[in-house]
Amino acid sequence: MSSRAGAETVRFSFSPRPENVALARMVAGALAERCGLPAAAVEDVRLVVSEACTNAVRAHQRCAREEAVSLTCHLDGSFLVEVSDAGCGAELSADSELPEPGTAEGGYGIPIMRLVASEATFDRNETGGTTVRLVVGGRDARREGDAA
Amino acid sequence: MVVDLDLEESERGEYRVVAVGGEIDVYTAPTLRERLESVLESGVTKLCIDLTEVQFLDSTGLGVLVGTMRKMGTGSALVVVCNRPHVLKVFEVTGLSKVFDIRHSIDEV
Repeated sequence: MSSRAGAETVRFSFSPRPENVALARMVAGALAERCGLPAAAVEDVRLVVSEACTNAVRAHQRCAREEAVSLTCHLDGSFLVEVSDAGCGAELSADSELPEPGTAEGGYGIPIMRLVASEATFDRNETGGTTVRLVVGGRDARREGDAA
Repeated sequence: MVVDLDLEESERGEYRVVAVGGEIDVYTAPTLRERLESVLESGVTKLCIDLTEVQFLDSTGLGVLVGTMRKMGTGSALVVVCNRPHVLKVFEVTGLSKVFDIRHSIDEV
């Protein structure tokens, strides 16, 4: 496993249980560190991966499906991750906005992904589940890190 | 790997302080919710949730905090202590930094 030497793709998967979200977050964070992202961007990776994996676990719970949730991480200066589940996600809407602050206990996950990642897309995959594609970092983040 | 939350209660002036340590996510948030509910049920009206030792907070943790705020009626006070930039960021991007009374140190409570 070379460090910061060119592009690399890492795949892993986990059973859709809440206790595994921390594990996915930890692995994604370690990979983000390895691809040279500054500390703040590594925290962003941990946050958006946690949100995507939380939604995936809940989507599996909703229809009692036991298939694994899979993550594919592409490391190439920036961090791109695809989180795919086979669960029953809520209807995908293109414009899920933040709830009026303080009024709702849920509904923050997708807006957080959209606001923290530099790219966030949500698509139905071939299993009927959802694939979330998130990008964190890139040239701007590295410049900020170098300047810090 | 099992992630546990540390929860410690103390008194500070008129406030009941619940100090949280660890990572608040979909697995640990129910533990926090239960503790905060039982604190409120015991009649506490001035509550300080100290997140100083929280290394990670996501939307599920936010949901617990919003739920706690909603359960506390008028005339009660909720203060959140938090100084880690990446935890504060979660409040800021969601607009909840304007809703919660956030202090950067327990000394400000």
